[in-house]
Amino acid sequence: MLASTLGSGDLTPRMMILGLVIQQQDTVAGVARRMNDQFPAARWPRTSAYKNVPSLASDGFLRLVEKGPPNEPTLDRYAGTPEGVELLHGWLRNAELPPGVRDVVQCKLEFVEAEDLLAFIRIVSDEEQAYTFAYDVAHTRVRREQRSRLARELAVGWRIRLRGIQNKDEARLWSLMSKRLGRLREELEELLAEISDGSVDGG
Amino acid sequence: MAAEALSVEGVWKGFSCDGRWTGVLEDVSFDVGRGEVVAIVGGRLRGKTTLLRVAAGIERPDKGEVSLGSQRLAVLRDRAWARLLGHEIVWVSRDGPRLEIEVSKFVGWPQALHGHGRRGSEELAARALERVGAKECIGRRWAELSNWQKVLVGLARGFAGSPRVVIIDDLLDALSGRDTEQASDLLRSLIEESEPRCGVLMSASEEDSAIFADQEYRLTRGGGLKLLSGRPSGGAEIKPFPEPAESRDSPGVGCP
Repeated sequence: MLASTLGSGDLTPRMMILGLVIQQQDTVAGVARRMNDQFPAARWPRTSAYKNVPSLASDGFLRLVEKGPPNEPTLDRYAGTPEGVELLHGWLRNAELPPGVRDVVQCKLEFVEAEDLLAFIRIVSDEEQAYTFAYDVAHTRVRREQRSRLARELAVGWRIRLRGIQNKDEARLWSLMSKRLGRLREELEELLAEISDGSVDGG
Repeated sequence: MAAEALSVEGVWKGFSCDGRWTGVLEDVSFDVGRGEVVAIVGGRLRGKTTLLRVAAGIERPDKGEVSLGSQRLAVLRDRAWARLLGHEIVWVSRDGPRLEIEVSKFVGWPQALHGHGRRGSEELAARALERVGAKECIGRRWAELSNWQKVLVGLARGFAGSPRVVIIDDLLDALSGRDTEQASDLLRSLIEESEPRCGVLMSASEEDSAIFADQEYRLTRGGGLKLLSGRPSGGAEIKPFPEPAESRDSPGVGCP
């Protein structure tokens, strides 16, 4: 759904898969499903789990705890090893500074020519709409979480609080991206208008 | 869908400055349903307060209509509108009262103007302040309150009577993190307990202050309104972006 990439160099499907299996032991098929459920916006290919779980196991970061039916390797169940937990903790507790940001729009701006501007504005506008939609989805989740919190009238544990903070942060991320692309679109539209009326050189 | 408490339809508003007319609001439409929170988000000088003032009937639109239920505000005479303001429409702002009055007078003042008398309005104010947990503010003045206390006192004023619409201008903007969440929870509880169920229209500079709203709009540079979140009864709806056919293998945004 979202075409831009905002990722640090260390944010790989491998690390997410390691985290998911350490969070809860699972089959390869289960990990593939949870990747999609828990990180839908990341849009990692389904094959990531099929490639990375056996590879993490052969590197000693996961271990096979239950063999699935014959010829059904995707139903083999894995758990984390102490080495895997150590690797995940190392990743969690260390920052890559400055973080690597590989933004498609920034990169495309570098190569845009005057004749590409109109098409590029459409792309930016579509992406802005996509982020607004993602914001709406995240915002709805935040509202539901508030309603459920108020209905319970009980003090919530830290994990539920953390989930609430994560939901708000996600909404904030999409909102920032949508706002940023909206401003970029406005500026590009102004530039296009200036080129069209000849007040700026389009050559 | 909640019945409409307030309806703003096709509103235009501008100002003349040094002989030049500047448009602030252009064809703005939205509804505030009973039991709903609608937030208008926008940066400084985008026209949020102007929009709220028009919605409250404090300013008349150049074009368009504002209705409270079935009552069109534009056709009301000043006295009839004055009866609505403070009673059925309550205005709460972070700026507080123009005069440095004591907190319970500020909270009870709209009620005093609408037939509750001095003693009755003081009792309503004390009850409202106690309900929001701001009893300790009684006897103090607005300027002496912390940001958090201003929010509590503002909400007490908004819900002291039985309003149909509470209009909140920038009140939650000074808060952050957990305070925003607690203020939003309190606002939601006050709405749930209100009888008849009222609607809330609020403005905010940042999305964070509006993240618990049922509908959220952003005021755009051209003076229009863009729906960011929620499902309005009519008008614009956010359309999901079509998923490209070959999208599954392309890299997306990282861990949300």
